[in-house]
Amino acid sequence: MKNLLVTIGNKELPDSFSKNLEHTLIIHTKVEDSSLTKSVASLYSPGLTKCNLEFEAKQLFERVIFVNTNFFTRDTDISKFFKLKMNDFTLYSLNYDVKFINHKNLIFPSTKIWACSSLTFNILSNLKENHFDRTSLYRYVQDSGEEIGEDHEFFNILGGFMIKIQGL
Amino acid sequence: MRRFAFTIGGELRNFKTSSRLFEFYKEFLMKNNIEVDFFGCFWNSNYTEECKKLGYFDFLTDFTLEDVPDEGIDRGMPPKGNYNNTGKSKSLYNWSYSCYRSNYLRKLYQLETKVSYDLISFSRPDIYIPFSSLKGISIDIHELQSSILNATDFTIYTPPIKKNFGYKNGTDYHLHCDDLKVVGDQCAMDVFSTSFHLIYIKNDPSYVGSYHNLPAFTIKKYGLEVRNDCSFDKKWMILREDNGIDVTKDMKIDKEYVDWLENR
Repeated sequence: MKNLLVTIGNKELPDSFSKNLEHTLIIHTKVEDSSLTKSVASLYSPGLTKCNLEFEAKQLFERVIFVNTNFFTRDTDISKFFKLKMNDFTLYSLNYDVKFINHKNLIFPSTKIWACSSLTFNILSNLKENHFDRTSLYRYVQDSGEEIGEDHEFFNILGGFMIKIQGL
Repeated sequence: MRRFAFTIGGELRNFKTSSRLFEFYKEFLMKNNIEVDFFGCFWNSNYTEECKKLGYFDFLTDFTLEDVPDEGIDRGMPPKGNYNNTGKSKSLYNWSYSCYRSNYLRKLYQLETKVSYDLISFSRPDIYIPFSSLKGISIDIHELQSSILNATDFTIYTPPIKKNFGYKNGTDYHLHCDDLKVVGDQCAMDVFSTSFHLIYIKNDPSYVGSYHNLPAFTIKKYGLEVRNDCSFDKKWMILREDNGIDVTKDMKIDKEYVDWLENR
């Protein structure tokens, strides 16, 4: 298996979509609350499974793709992820936003659909709920007059680990 | 109540003494309102079998016994020292492997029980924690969230990491750090313990994971914080004797441990 597709949400991906994925293992976690906090915190167990599979195979997954199925539509094209070689310490995002804050354009990744290398996933899958929701601290966002949202929280976490964000 | 997890791994050496010291650490820390759990990954050997029969594993919360990883042994080389039964090790392959495996058991236990740890250590099994350091841990762990320590997640407590350039007659590669033990908060150790994936499964040809280098490399690569301003980073020692305590010639053995062993 080259790819790991980690999905969370109320529903699983449609069969018609899943069966067309080659060399891809899917781990689904049913999560009622699909906020960023809950969804990232729910990656702990899939992260553990991923590491154990890699340990047994003595090989890392080439890419780990995250999809919140509650936001998955027919138009969601995750095939772009499969064409990429994932660099370590980079998060690849579909549907990203670019906002001009503090003298430059910043990329705010989607919190619902993204991909990264196996090693980067080792970091993200160990985040806990208490690492989010510190909205009052985002002075750089407040100063810009932006409304603080989940995308800023995710951006902040990634920056804390020097994880580069790349929009596709 | 605070919670501390010892994760230990590698070849069992001098375990008759060290297992009893682990029991001391547990009793002492529990008296100071700290729950303690132990998780281990050790290599099969006659000595391991003997230790198991004699009940030296009874203090462990969970453990696994495995054959020594072939990749981590220098085949054809004689064992190193009196207590090396499973063969001379090659780089920190087995260190990293047993760190991953013992912490994997710890994570499974946590998923099952929902407990969380304030602090986690990883070390080899033949370890001696100077009593002053143990006392320091028992005090500082209660201060983690206070203004004294003001600890943040993803922190490893270790002596300063040095760039080891121009070190005459040195055998280490670039980064130098303490590889006898690693202590960190749960988030840090969750990430740190996947170093086996980072160094050996990844097999990137652009760096070396070796003695005194691997922990530092993992900390830097994964972007973990480093602190060395409290008792958690203080040096631990290696036990050199299986019948009583022998650490180094210059070190005074703690009376508390001698009394404990005599009364067991």
